[in-house]
Amino acid sequence: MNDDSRISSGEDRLLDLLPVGAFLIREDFVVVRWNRTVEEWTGMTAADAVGQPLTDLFPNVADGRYAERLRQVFSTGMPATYSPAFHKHFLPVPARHGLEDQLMVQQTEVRLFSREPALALVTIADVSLQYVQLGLLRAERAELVKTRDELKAAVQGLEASNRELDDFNYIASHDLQEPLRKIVSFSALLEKQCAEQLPDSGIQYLGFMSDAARRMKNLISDLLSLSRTSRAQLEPAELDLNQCVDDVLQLLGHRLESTGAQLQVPALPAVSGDRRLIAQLYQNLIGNALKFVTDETPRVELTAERGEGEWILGVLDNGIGISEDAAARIFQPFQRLHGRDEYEGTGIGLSICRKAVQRHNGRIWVESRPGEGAHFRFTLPDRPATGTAADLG
Amino acid sequence: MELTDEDLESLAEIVNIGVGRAASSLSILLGSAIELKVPKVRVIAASDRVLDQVDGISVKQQFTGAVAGKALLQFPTQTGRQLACLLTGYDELDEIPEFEISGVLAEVGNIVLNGVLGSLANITSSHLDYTVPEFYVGRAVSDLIGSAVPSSRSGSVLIADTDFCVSSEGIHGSIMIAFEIGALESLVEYLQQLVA
Repeated sequence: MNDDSRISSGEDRLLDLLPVGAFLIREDFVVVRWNRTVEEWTGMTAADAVGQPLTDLFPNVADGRYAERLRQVFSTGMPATYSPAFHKHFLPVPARHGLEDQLMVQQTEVRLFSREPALALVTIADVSLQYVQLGLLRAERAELVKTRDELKAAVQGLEASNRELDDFNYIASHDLQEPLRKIVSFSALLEKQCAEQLPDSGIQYLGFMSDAARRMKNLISDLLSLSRTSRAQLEPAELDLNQCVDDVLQLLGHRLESTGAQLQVPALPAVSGDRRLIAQLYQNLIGNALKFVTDETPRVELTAERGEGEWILGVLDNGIGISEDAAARIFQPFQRLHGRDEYEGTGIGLSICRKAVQRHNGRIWVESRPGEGAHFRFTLPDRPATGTAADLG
Repeated sequence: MELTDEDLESLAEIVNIGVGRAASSLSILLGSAIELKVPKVRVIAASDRVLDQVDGISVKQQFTGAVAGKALLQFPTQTGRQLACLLTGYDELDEIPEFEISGVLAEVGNIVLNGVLGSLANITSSHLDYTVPEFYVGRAVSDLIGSAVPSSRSGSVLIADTDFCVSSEGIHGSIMIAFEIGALESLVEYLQQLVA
């Protein structure tokens, strides 16, 4: 029925060349032209479509939201646009782009093509690819959100568990002090007032007990110190490390003298940090350098190196050094590498150092080999203001 | 031509009839009640420089016939995104892709402008020819209705501030109809004769 004389064969070919689906319908919705792209999309040839009402070929077009506005095109001449977000498809044709369950998504426009007899031109653009890409983006985004939520939950869980552990540590170590004080004081009283009534073995046992109580006191004291380092309210401020280290060296003055250590302290920078925690950090590290010594004269050097937005600081010594295995676990609490007879200590000092650095969002590690000394290094954030305090040269 | 309050009221009435029809069509399309109101209209010269400063999201349809000109549905960019989100169910403004905004607002603009221009054609008992809607982002209104040079722009622009009520949310946009020189005057004279 493609006999409308006004549709010339030239116009036919023109319609076929369009890269969009295009067809012409009459006022009664009967198809008068059906281009090759629509043939390809629908699998329906022009010979089958032309002369048939569109609503017979595709009953969904009889739906009010299509048909009403199609009629308006003929009655008023006003165009109609059907967006994919509201309609998905004007013609229900098979999926493209390998999506079996998704129909081709179309942006459709209809406008009056001729007035007498009235013909409307329907053009359909396939926008499925945009939706396929959107689907992929959404899937990626959902995956990212899921991973982020899982990480967030894991971090929250870890934080809660750390808090509980800190609380337990604090309460346990704090509450243990009282009975321990009694053990220490009564064993001292026993030794003082009842020593004559005790046999030699009793005196010896009392000595063991006093010694154990003293070690336990040190342990509890260090545990409390670790707990306080974890729980302390941080008071970060611009901190001149030269002053901070001077204070620490004064505290360690006696040990420095007794060991005859050679100390090298370069000009140190200003950082952003909590004075009390950083002082504790230097005190523990320098203290260790003076403790784990060889037969040589102890040499201790403080180091400072500029990093990106941070300072890489350190304490270098010529002591006994640490094996690679030990270096991996040395910052864990109660990790003693040597017997108590060899070196005094509770095995908590480096845990306190790690916690102090972590509280400043820094890192701490050790570079060492057995017998070749150790270089404990850590990072601290640069001070917030411009520049650095010290001219390190 | 100096327009009286009565002239402006008549023009507002025509626009309101049009947006009323558009609201019905939109409600059927979306399956939920959409309200459209135009409290008042005003008319400015097409050469008014204020049109250089208005941009955002625009849908344009041109019309020719007894009355000729260009009609725009115009929103500030964020407001246009918000409307598109409300109509399509996106929760966040940055979630909706640009091609969905352009598709949705082109169809909404088509329905609204068809309503208003249809009302104009009805009242003047004339047949108009229309182009399909065009979608623009970030183009000044002055650029869309004619030339960027104010002195070369002629005719008048009818501006109808339009309130959309979608899912209890108020969205404010504008319908603008730029009439070719003399067209608005002819329309107003015609309306004056109708009410006389």
